[in-house]
Amino acid sequence: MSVSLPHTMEPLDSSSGGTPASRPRWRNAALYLTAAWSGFFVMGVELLGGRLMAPYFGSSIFVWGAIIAVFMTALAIGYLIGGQLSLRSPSLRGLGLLLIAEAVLALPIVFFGDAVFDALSYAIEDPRYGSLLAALLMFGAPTLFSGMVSPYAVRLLIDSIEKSGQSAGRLYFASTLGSAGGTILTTFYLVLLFEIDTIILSLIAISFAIGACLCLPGVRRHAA
Amino acid sequence: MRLEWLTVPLLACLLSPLGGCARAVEANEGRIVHREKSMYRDLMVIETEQHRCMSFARRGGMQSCMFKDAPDILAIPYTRGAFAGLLANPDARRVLVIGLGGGVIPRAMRRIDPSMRIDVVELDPAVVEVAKQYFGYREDPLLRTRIGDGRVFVRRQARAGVRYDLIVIDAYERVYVPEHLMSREFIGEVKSLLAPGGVVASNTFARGPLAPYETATYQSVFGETRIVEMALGNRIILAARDGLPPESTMRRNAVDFEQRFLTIGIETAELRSQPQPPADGYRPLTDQYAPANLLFGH
Repeated sequence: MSVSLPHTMEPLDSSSGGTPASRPRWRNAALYLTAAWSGFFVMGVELLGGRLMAPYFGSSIFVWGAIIAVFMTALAIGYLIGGQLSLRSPSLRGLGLLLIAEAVLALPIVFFGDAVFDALSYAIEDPRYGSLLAALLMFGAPTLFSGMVSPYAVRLLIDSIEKSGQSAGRLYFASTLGSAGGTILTTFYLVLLFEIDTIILSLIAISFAIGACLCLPGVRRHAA
Repeated sequence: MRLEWLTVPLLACLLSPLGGCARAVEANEGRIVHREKSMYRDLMVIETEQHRCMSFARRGGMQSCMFKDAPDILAIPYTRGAFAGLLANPDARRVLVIGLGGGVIPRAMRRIDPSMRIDVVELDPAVVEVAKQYFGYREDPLLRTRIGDGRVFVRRQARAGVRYDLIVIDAYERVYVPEHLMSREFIGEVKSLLAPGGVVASNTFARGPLAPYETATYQSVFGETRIVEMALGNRIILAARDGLPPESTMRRNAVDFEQRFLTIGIETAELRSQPQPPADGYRPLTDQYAPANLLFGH
């Protein structure tokens, strides 16, 4: 490894596909954008999830506690699994599939959410545990896949050990800024303009579209 | 109520919609006698020479006020307005109050009818404690307080087959409207909890951008609504499961209640209600579309 020529450094792992120089410029931008969107998606769903659960469990402090605990736990496990997954031939397509999974797994929120919340609100006397289980069932799976996005994307970004911290920092920047965007846009404006299901379905559609784009054969050929 | 009882700052505070007198009291030697950070709010008890008030926020207005030397008198107009529900359903035996505050409404109901069965649901346990400690709120075998979310309680009672003759909704604050308690679905659940002839009396915002949305929401469930404009700026929305009685009937009922109402500081004339014109052009709030606080803030 030549110190004088850092831009020609070998990739850490030959399976990452191609040297930095051979990658198109937009590739990294696409990775940051994907991470930012995933952050946006998570917070949008989380805040709207609180609203969807309020009719059944109230909007007491413990309902928010249950929702946040579920999201944090699902993200944590997602980070772990996403990191493991990045060990085996990581690709843009793999990243795209994660987004498609988060989108598809969020669909039950819209179509079965009310029925599940309704049943659990009667089945479990204590609304603390009712809301915890309800949030887990409805939001756990999509959030888990959202959590997998960041570590997986870090792997696709990293060119060198020296720059790994920088790449990870930038990715967290994008992802967390996306979360902030999802939080403020949803609570300040979107709920004033649209119904909750419309917003969630739109978030799902966008996640699906981004995921599908990353899976396109042309994208994979040019970017890999 | 005799106006000369009122101090100038308290009059100023009573004139503003849904309370709003925190600053006035504060600026005029109002003394904080109790303050705690509860799970939900900054809970304060403020005293002036003649009054004791509960406040949820420095600038959030008063939830409940009472005269220290005449605790049975309802000091804040909207708390008196809630009793218009009894004029629409004078035989109410079972009552639900959503939102306790200082507990002055259930206490006054108990005062005029010792056999009325009253359930109260309040989210914040600290509010219940303060109501008991500072506002003389007392439970008895027929007056029970449940701690919990109003909507959760309404759903469970409806499912258990409980029915109420009168439901008083006092859950909206100036600083925060619980959005799930201001939706067509919630009002529908409240309606399903009403016994035949049952009436709902809801303390809502008289002015401001949210008012027509509230009206549209109640009308989308009940059709006809009436409004009690209280002298000092609040309004009570009245609606009934099977339609409200004609005005002449309510006036007759008012005569029957006159003496009892005087013992809690209500002059029946102020409970006169008006039919509310349809809130055309305003979208009812729903669980799916409920930006009550954003609309309020605009």
